[in-house]
Amino acid sequence: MILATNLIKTYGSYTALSGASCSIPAGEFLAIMGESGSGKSTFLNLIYGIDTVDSGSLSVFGNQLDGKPVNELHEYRRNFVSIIFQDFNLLPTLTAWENVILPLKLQGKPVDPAWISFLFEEVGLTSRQHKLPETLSGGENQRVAIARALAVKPKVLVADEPTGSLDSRTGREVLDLLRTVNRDLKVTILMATHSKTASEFADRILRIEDGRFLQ
Amino acid sequence: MKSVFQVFKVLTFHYYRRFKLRWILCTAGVAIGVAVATSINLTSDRAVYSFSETLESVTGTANLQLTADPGLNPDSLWSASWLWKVGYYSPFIQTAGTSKGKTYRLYGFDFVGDRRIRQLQTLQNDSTKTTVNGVFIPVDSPLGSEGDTVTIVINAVRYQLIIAGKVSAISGKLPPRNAIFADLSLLLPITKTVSGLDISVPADSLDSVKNKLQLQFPTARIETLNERKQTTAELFSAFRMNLQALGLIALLVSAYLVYNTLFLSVIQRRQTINLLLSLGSHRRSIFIALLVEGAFFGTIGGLFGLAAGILLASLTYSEVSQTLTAVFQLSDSQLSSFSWMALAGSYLTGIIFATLAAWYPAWLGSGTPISRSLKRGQSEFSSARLKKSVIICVSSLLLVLFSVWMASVTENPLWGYAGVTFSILMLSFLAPPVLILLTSLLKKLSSAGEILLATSSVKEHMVKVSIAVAALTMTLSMAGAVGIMVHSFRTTLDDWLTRSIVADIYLKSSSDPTQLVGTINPDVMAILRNHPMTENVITLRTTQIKIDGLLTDIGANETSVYFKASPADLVAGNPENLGLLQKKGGVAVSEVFANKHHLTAGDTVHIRQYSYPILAVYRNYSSDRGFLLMDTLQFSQLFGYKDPTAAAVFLKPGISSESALLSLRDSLKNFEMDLSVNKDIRENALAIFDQTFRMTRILQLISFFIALLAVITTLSSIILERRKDFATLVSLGSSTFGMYRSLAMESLILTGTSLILAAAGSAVLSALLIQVINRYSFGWTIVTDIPFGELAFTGVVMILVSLIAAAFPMKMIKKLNLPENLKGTIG
Repeated sequence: MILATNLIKTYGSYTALSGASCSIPAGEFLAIMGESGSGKSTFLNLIYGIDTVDSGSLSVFGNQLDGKPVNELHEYRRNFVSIIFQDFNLLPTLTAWENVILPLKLQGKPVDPAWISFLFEEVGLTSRQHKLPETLSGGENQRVAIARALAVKPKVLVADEPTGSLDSRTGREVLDLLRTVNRDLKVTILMATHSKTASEFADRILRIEDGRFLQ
Repeated sequence: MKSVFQVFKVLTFHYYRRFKLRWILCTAGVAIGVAVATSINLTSDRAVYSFSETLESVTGTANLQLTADPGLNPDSLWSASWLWKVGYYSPFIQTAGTSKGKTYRLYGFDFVGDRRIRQLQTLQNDSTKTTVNGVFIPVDSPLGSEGDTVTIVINAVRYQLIIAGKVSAISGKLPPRNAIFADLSLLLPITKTVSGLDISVPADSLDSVKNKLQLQFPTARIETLNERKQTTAELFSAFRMNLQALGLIALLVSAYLVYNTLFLSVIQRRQTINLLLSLGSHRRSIFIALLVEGAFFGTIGGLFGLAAGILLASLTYSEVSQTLTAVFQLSDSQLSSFSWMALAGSYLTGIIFATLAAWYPAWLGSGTPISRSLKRGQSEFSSARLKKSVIICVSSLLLVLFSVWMASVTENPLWGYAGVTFSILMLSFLAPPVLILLTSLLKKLSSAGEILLATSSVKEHMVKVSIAVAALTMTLSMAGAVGIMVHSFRTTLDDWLTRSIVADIYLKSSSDPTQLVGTINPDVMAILRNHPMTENVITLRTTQIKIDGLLTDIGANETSVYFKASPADLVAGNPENLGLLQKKGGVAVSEVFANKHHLTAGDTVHIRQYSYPILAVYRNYSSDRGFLLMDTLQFSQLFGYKDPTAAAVFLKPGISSESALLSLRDSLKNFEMDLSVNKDIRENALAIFDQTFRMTRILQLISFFIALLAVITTLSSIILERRKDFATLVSLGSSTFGMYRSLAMESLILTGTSLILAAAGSAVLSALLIQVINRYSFGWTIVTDIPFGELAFTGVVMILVSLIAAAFPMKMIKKLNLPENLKGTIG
């Protein structure tokens, strides 16, 4: 369960969030829609624990994030949340498999090959798991990124414009995959998007405008 | 041109106004290189210049010099009076003396009649006032003041001389501080002979005059001004080679710093560059603007470097000068003026190096690859690039082998330098394949996250890392090679000294450290021979003559006794012949002499009207001009009787050197003699050697410095380029310490590869230095002896340096703004 109450976040004179509040139940696939600069990425950054709120209350699966600096959220990020990016952010000289196991290695967690193989099966890349990112298509790269995000078994998956760099057909395939992941692995997904089509894959759409969620 | 200026303004001026630290780093980079190069050029040039100036200042307008050893009888000079028809001449005396433990050069010439050759400018502007009775010293001489009486020891005899005045200049030049000028009439009763003639004749009659004089004085050495300068240059070639290697490395360091800083700057400015391109700027304008940027740093940094270099030169000059004084028994020890050519040379070289260093970043910044190779996520690794590296390596190796072969055929050391250049090229292009091999091996050995990350990063930044590895390898290889050469040379010299210095006590005139003019008078020899502790005495006589146009040291001793006590290390010939030089009428020559004259045992060497069979070629490191040893009797036949310049005393069995030394000193207390036990001679020789090569230690310091900078700047540029990746890694759960481990691993891969390559590089370069350059420059063989302990220590220090270096870029990671770097926009 994610509970945000009256979140305020400013960058200098610019206010990104101005009293945003929302409640997201566990296991939900939520699409957050809004114009550029409306505050959706800022909200996701707060959920992901790479930015801190100025005021307000933010609780993610029992973790009270408000009032904590980013460097104290390290353990939270390791155990509760994962992220996928618009432009994948895969390491180009590592194979798809190596990219997927990288978070486990970095966190010093054991690598369970069966789990990783299952993830590759889930994202449909079993036959491409030893390829380098540059030899994979954009959609395939995003699938690898999703597998990487799931490797640490997070409770929440943050997806910031996950289909922004993909054509519409590939984008739909990725959204299908997120839907499947949400259903099969019971992962809560928070997806920021501009696309109406993308939002239709979500359980619920939450609109944000001028730093506030519209109820 | 206008567009280049506009691009420069937008791209460079505005950028560096914002990033002042980068500007300072770049400027400092050039300044360091130029400073070291300047100080090296200045000190070596000044030291060599002061020596040649010594000669030139006393020869004034003379363009021909006649010298004779053991000197010319003054009465014979009348026969040269025909010279007055074509020009004019003036006799001179050159000798050495000591006062309060310091060596002085005494120059005697005809103060009254010599004025067309030399202009002696005294402070009183009256050089004739007291000239005949006193001596003149330079204004900065430590000897004393006008009117003082000084004691000078010349050829073991004390003389009281009055300082008649101070010299401000000779022929417009400041004389060296250790000079003493006297009228011929004062020195002639001491030396009995004149050292030679300075002659001034029209340039077109130079050759004919020289030939005529040579016929008239067949035993004399007659040289033109240019020939004398060449002799001086040869004398210092080894020393300068050593220093110039240092200067080159310093400039390479600065070039690498400029390269890396500009590379970082180009990465940071890629958006601006793309914007300028999209707004219609021509790629060529951007390329030129970035090159100008490099030249600009060279110009500004060079100025700072010159100032720092002059300061450094003032500090290091006394070190260099002491070395030269110790090795060559020269001249002054203060840096009184600068060679403007040396300054201009260093400055221009700094600008050229900085501009060349900017070439690749400029090409990268202005060329199409900006959108491709600099794009984040695009790996710099490609099989084609790797293949190209291997091809260049193999080609360079073939060129190294070809250079070595050519060096052996032509006996020209320049081919050795070509070999060094190709070796450096080979080592530089070996970096990518070795890096790939090492990273693959590491990945196979461990699947730890840090290794995965580090190897991935190295592969992704193959070009950048390879350049850093190449720079580091080059520095370490040269430092290692010079270290091996110096150590080998020292070991060889030590062995040779142990083999050669076999007598118990050595003796020479204390006024004669050069062993060229001072002699041991017969009374001293008689005391030595009759001393109750003496078993045997060997005398040594030396002189220099030209054989087949090459200046050669000739020595003579009682060879039958000498070689029995000191068996030579033979290169060619029968060892039994060494004791039979006098009997067989032959000579033994040093390896250097044999190589320079292309002679070996069994050949004949012609000196004047005599021919001498070479009975043996032996290793001798006393002279890089070549040494010819004959028996004392043959020497007297050739040069007339000369008192010995040194003597070696063998003591009766059971007598300790120390007690004999005290006893002999007591017996010789009325004579100014230097007596030393063999241990001290050996230690002194090694001390002089160590002093000569002390500056090579700077090489090691520079190596560590470049290592630190190379690793820091390379890792920093990698982090700067991969900010988004590092932000991703932090977001994927990597801890700060985990990131440090990964960076430290990357740093170790970089340094480790450099050390592996440098080990090979040191071996190849030291082989070229020892077996090719040394051999064909100086003609002697050095036995290779690798200082394993020292090299291992360097390796350990380098590894520690690399671990420390990784800590600096970590600060950049700690400061990463995660949201900004993960997406780039905040919405």
